Amino acid sequence: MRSIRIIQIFALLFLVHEANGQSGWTKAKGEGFFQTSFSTFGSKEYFNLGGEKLITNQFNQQSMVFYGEYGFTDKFTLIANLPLQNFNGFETTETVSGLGDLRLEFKHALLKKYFPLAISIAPEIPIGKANNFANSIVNDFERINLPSGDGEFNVWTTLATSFALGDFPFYGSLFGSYNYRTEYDGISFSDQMAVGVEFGYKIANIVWVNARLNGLTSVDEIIEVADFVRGDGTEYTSYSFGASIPVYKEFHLNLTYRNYNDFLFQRRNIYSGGVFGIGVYYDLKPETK
Amino acid sequence: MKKVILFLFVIIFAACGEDEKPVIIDSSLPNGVLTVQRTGTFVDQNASGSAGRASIGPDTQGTTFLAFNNEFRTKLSTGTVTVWLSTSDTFTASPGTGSPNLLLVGPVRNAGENFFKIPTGVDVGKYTHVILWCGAVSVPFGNARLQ
Repeated sequence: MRSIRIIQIFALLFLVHEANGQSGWTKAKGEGFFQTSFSTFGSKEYFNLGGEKLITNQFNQQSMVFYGEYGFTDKFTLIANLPLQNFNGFETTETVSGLGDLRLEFKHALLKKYFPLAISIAPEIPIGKANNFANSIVNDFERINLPSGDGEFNVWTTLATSFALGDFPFYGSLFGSYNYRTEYDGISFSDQMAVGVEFGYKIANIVWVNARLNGLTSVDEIIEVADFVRGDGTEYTSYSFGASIPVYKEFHLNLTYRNYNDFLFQRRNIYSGGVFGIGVYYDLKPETK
Repeated sequence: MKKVILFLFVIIFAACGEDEKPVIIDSSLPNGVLTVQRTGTFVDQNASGSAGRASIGPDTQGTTFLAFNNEFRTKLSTGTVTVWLSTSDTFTASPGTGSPNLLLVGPVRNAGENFFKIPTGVDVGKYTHVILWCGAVSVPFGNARLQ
């Protein structure tokens, strides 16, 4: 059950990273999980910093993301998340694309057996395009910055715990994260906190399904957005549903749907709408002697 | 040696005495004094930090200008912010009828003092507001009521 993962939705407008797939488990030594996924999103509903919903021109985003986990020891797992290409555009602009920011997560198991508990440190290295201007297709003098990376170095620290019900194929996970943000081009951003809960169940001993609830909030009260497109002041609650279907040997198909509401944190500085994702992952199992 | 020094003296002073630099008249700036007819303070919208004052009126030669004062600012890092004159505080585009309630003034690129020349023949009297508009997204960044 630890192998199930939802597609890592990354860089949703405006460059929100959601710490998906957090659990108290680490991989066993030699175990791996490698996924390539595609997600698509489109919305006209923008929630401003005051939480007011505005109807704007439609914003569209598609992402191709590589996500991998590998257990170097039974207690240490390295996780990498790299948006291979983010495509961003409004209905009134051209679409621009670029590589996203690389997130490397170093996860260590604090407790393993009865109370799985793990801590992880995940620096996000700003290798994506911090500025990527899309020209308007309506007025030739207008353009908008739709970067594929947020341009700033930041570090997520996550504490996560999980439980499983023995032979009954059900599990749950709970996590809390803190995102230490720095600055880009002299603009400082507020730190963020994220929380999340996940439950999963295996149907007919074949298909894993799961449900998640995540929340993100700013540590500081933001009165004026330092930069709309770099997630400053962004807050939201998201919920998602996923299914993981075995396809061939250790290859699986992953389907996800995610959307937003105001249940934990009111939506602020974010486009809200349904995100559909599809991915293929490979479960690497160490050879048994 | 004296001849050399005298020669250099003459050359230097001759250079200093050349014609004055030509005066470049920037037609995008008011000529002479701008007579403010109406003015208003920007109200921020959508946490974009808009502030400052907008004024409208003719310059000495009778050309109408919209002017932003030194305190003007808005969020310019996200994308193009376009200045419009409007008959209300709401941006109401009507492409089918040529948007009679709006007049495109132009994009604003910098914080601080800005001048925008209003085309000749435009009746600015009917426009009551200045709107700062992020056109790519279609959201207002602020407006100022001219009175």
